[in-house]
Amino acid sequence: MAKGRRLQPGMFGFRKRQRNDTGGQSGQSQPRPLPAKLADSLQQIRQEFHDASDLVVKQFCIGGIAARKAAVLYLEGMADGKAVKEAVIEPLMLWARPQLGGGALRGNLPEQIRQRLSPAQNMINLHSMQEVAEQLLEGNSVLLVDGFSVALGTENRGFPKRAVEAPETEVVVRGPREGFTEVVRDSVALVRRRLKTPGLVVEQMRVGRRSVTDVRLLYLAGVARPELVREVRRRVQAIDVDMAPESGIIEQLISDYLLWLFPLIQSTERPDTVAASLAEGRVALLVDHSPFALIMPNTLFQFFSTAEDYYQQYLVSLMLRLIRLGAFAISTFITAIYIASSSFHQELIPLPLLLNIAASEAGVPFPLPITAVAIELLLEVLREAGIRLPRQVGQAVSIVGAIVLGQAAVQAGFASAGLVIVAALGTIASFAIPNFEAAVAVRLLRFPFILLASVLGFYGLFLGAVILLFYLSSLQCFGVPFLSSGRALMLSSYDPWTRSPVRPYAPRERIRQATPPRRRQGSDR
Amino acid sequence: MKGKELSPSQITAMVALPRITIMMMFMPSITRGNALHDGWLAALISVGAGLILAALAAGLAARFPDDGFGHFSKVVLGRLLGAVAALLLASFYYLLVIMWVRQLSILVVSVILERTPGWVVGLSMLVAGLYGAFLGPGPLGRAAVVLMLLVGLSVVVGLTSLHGSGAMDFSYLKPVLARGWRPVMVAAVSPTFWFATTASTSLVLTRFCTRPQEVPRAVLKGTLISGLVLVLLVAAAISTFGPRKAAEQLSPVHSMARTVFLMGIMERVDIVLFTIWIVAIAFDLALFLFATATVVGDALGVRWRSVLGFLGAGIAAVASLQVLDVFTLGTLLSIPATAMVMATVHVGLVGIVFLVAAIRRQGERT
Repeated sequence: MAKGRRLQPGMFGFRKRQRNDTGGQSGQSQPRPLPAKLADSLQQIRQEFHDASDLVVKQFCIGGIAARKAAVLYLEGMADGKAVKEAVIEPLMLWARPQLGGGALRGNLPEQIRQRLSPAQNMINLHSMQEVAEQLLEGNSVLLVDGFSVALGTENRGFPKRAVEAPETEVVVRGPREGFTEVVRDSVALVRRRLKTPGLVVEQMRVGRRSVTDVRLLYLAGVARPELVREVRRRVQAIDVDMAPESGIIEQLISDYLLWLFPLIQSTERPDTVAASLAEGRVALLVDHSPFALIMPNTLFQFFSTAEDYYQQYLVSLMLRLIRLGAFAISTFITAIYIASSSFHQELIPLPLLLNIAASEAGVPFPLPITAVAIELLLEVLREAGIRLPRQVGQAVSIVGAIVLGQAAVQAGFASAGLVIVAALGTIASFAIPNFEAAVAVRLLRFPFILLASVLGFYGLFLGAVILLFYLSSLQCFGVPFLSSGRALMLSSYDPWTRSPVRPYAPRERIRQATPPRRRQGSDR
Repeated sequence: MKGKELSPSQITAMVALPRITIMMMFMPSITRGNALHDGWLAALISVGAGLILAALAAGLAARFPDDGFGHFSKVVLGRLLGAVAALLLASFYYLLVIMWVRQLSILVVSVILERTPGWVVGLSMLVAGLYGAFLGPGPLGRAAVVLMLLVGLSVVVGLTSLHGSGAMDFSYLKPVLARGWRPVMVAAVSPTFWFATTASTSLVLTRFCTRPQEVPRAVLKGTLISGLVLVLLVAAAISTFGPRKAAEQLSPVHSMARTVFLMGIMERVDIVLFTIWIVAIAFDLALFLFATATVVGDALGVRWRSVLGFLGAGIAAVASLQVLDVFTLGTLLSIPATAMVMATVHVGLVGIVFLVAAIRRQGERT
């Protein structure tokens, strides 16, 4: 798999730590056992958390017996304080005294508590200080009982979270309005609701020494290639960074290449897209704190498909996909074609149009390539400003900026009307590409093409096109060629070039275990 | 198996594409001879003969599914002779690269970039070719499939537009063997060896194929596809210009493209043809540079990417001397000389290796 070009962990500003630095991640050093004495345990936990002000410690006596001291700990805002009080503290304080009498019960007290509360609370035994710390950081509460070196972890998560909302980056006219949230468990549930099969495997992993980010690996057993699953798992487990605050970091760290232009791993906010991809044999990663799932492997043609393609009639979706492909070509080449034909190959243009172009270019003091780059940059600035500003203001800035500045530039003789129209058309066409990152890549591609067309006309333009073709042909994602139609990579692709006209998501033949994986192999000899 | 990255269908595209590209550019030594009306028949004969030579090369390659020509020529002919044979084949491929670059440079600077020095065009084309070759067989195979779609579409659209324009007169195709067999057979010689040349890349590509036993079939399929295109183009050229006028054209396909007018949208469709040439020629350069580097690498026991580096450095060194026409090779580039070189390589070189391998095999059996 692209040996030598793999991204090395520890990049992107996250320093690589020595292995003896325990950091915030457990499992790096020997586990420290919990002291039996409650006061000692509390002191050690407070020390572990550096007397954190949000560490809540509530001490009480079980059943009101002074000798049965206990304490519940949780992090304020991470656990639901009310739930802790109602589900753990109050039942234990009100526990009938006769049940607690007699020295014989003393040894079994934590077990008795577990049996009494567990059906509703999902309690687990904790034996070390690291396990206690992990539970607290997960947003759970921990119950300590004096005289016992075992703590009980209780699931009482209660941190603030966003409700399930419509995804903002992948809007559909027809289709579900549910998008992933920042809570990975909710995101997993959204996928599971769409794939009600025990074959849906969800593996949990942790990434980040200090962030200890919860990452879930999803695939369909018997559909996804085992080699692919193993490779994804291996790459995620190999990540060694301090922080993994978003799935974008994971994407960069598991990608095949150090530098790339097109997104080689698909990101989506839509659970239906993830479910469909899993059914095709692909693998998904859901990352805590990120509403974007990662789907791999990815191919070029995925950029032009949307979930909606399957919810509409075949002919409509086919036409829309062709329009998107056309938009890709227009966005990449149109400005360069305008420059090449205006500067080098005027004979291509019909005479009336040529006369109009010549008339509008006549008053412009700058060379056409310089004006073109300036206009393209202006449009990029407007686009970026429109994204960063609040939505209402952003739209106004984009519209006003584009119309007013374009009109003013033409009237002031800074640019010709033809160039402004062509550049605007290219930018609008890029918005028709469903994948945002791919659209950005396409817009960036325009600049080298403008340069080539400015220097060598159509010859340079198409020389650039063939170099781009070679580049795209060389890309691979998890051993799957980026230019693959889709069938080669997956066991059952629903969507190589376009969807099936007869039955979308028709059952396909599943994986044959003997099928050899397509791996990138050295061929230097 | 390490490095097995090509599918048989990709090999079909890799074999067909260079031939079609060359035909689109200079199809036509075939129309230039004395075959006149029977040029299409000469094309047909060249396809048949080309298939035989293609079968020879592909059959030889299929006998050594895990080795390139540079390896198995040493096994068959012995260490020294094998290395010499491999280097001869590599030189032939490299000669083709230089020839194409030169021809394309001349065409580009004389038709679309009149004020640009030829070496700029040639060097930039070589850089693109070197980049493609450096990526290796897998990316080249995938690029070939995409380009085949593009070229195939342009051939279909071009011929349909030409037919629609009413410029074709099929009565020009009628006389069959009006001047006897001789001029027809002579006209068929050059394209036959062009078919053999592209098919000979199987000597390099087979070891990169996931299913080497299917390579001969893929090569024959590629040769047949490009042969069909040749017959169509020759027939189109003769029926458009008439046999005598077609024979006067340096590039009949280019002239045919100039006769097409696209509803006032585009004044010169031949520019589109040029763009397809540029893209496809860059691929051809990449393929033959890769073939050169692989054969040399195998023969000398060095990495092919290192050889490619040397080839690139050599080209850069020549260009840095500011030799204006660095790609001129004088008489080597004349049609008879090219045909002789190709005949020597395919009948002499590949044929000898094939024969020796066959004799040895027979000897082992007995």
